[in-house]
Amino acid sequence: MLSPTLPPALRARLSPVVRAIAEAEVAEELGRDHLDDVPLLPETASVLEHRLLGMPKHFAAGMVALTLLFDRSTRATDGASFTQLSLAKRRKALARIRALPLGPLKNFTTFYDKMAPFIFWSALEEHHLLHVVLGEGVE
Amino acid sequence: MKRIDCDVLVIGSGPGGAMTACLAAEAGRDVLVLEEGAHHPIDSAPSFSLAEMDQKYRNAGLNVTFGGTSITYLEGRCVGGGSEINAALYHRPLEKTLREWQTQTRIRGFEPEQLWPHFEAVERDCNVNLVPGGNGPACDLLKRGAGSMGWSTREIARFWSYPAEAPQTGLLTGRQSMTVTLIPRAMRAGARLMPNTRVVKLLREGKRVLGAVAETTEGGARHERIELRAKSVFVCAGAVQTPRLLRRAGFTHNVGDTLQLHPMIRITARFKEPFNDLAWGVPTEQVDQFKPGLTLGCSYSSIPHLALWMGAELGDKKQRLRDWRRTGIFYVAAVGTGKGKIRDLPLVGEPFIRLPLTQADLDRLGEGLLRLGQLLFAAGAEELSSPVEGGPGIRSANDLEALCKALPQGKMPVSTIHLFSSAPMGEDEATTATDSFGKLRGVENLYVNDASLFPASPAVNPQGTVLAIARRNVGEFLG
Repeated sequence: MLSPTLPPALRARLSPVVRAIAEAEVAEELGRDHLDDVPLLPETASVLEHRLLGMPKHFAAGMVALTLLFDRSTRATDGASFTQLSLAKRRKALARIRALPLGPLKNFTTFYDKMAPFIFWSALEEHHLLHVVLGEGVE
Repeated sequence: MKRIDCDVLVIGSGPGGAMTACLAAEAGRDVLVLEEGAHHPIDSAPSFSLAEMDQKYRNAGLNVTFGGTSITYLEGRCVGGGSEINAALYHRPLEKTLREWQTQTRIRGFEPEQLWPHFEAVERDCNVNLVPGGNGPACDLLKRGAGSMGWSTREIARFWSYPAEAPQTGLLTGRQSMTVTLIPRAMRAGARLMPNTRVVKLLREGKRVLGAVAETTEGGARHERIELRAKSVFVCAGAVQTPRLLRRAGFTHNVGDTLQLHPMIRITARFKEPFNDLAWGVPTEQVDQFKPGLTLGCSYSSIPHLALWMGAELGDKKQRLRDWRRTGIFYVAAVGTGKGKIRDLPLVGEPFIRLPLTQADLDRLGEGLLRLGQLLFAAGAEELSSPVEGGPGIRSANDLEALCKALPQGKMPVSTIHLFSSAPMGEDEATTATDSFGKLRGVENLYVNDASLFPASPAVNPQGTVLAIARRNVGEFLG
């Protein structure tokens, strides 16, 4: 049986990548390249990682592998790992994957494109912080 | 290994298992109910929230089928099963549907007149009610759009309780899931409930099942293995988990080969005026003009859910979410024609479901989306999101028409919470897994009592039909 939890060393490599993707997805959601005043980003990344590892084991294993590969893939295109890129470059890197035809990488971005915003807005709703991002009068 | 004995072992505590346990316990049988998930109170998390998904959904809702189009499916994994996480909508199936089932697999004792008393009992015992005094502004919008098109709609009753003195206070809190109705009743009658207990295998000896081996978990980790011995075993683990368990025990004849579902596509629509009021809960109006093949309706449309279904293509999502009160999520649910196979993946211990979304399904969903779009524009919609991933926003029914004529395979987010028909019942041995009352062929004391038994789609939310058929079948068992 595959383990639903990752070895600590692999987890330590995965977490920063998921965090970087979560930030890029939230930036895309808000249409901007800075997130200085946006709350609950660590929580969003943490829940996103939990979701990823909570998928059926065969999906989770594939997603972990693709996530780590994706981090390295930007070395060829941007000269640095995804985690090292600015938010603007991270958004562009994700957009390149989104533009691909069907395939595993497409499924990879679909997961992050769907889940990261859902988790982000859910966290804001749960903490009654929607107004911080959407403006006064929104609860 | 610790051993526990009982008369009736019930595997799964969703609607089928809860009904089985309740009636068997009330008939004086020593009943033990095993549930893989935890026992959470009904109000342990807000409905449709992230916290609820963590607590009560299998894999937090991230399960998919394989095929030309992957379909995301949801399963409850908690005491009460799917009844804890669905919209709690209640339907009786059409009489025509029941007669078709009766003929299709030659089910004995399945005249609609014999079945209606079971539906009546379910409606009474599980508190099936309409919303007192109207069902809210999203439903009014749906009725207005359908009215403009000359189509009929219907308010769907729910498993819900509304306090007589202040019905509105029950709109969000009155869910009558199994943890509120049949599970407490079963326990009052002496049934024992073991949550956090996953059945590993059934124990077979010749033509009898002796019981099961199960693993308990504590804090998400394996705790101990136990042996359960029973005179009779009911498998009520739902249309995906039931055939997996049966197949692992070597029961494969027509088991896990004919899974069916209701594929559903959602889009968002923005209107000029506000109508989205979460205080009303799930909108309960449905367009029934195109039943049984198609159902159109509105979903719970909180900001996180709108963000999930809206997609990024509409642009300025932040502003669109600010406008959430005039935006909603609308759906098309179809009776699917594809049949899927459920198998266990070796080593991984997870189900692998291969189920094609057929061209007929795509055509039907396309027709439904076009009808839905026509209705929404007739009701005043300014813009719809595209049902196709990455597609542009839709500003008129004409824009939608070309798209709906040829929905692309594999490019739409399709989901379902209605799964059934993975171990059908009837007397036709060539096509069924059980007899007319859920008793598995080739074994003396093993029964199925959940949505797996349906010969085909009920064409409506299946929970009411699961409960009624489970009631009928356990009545036959008890004599």
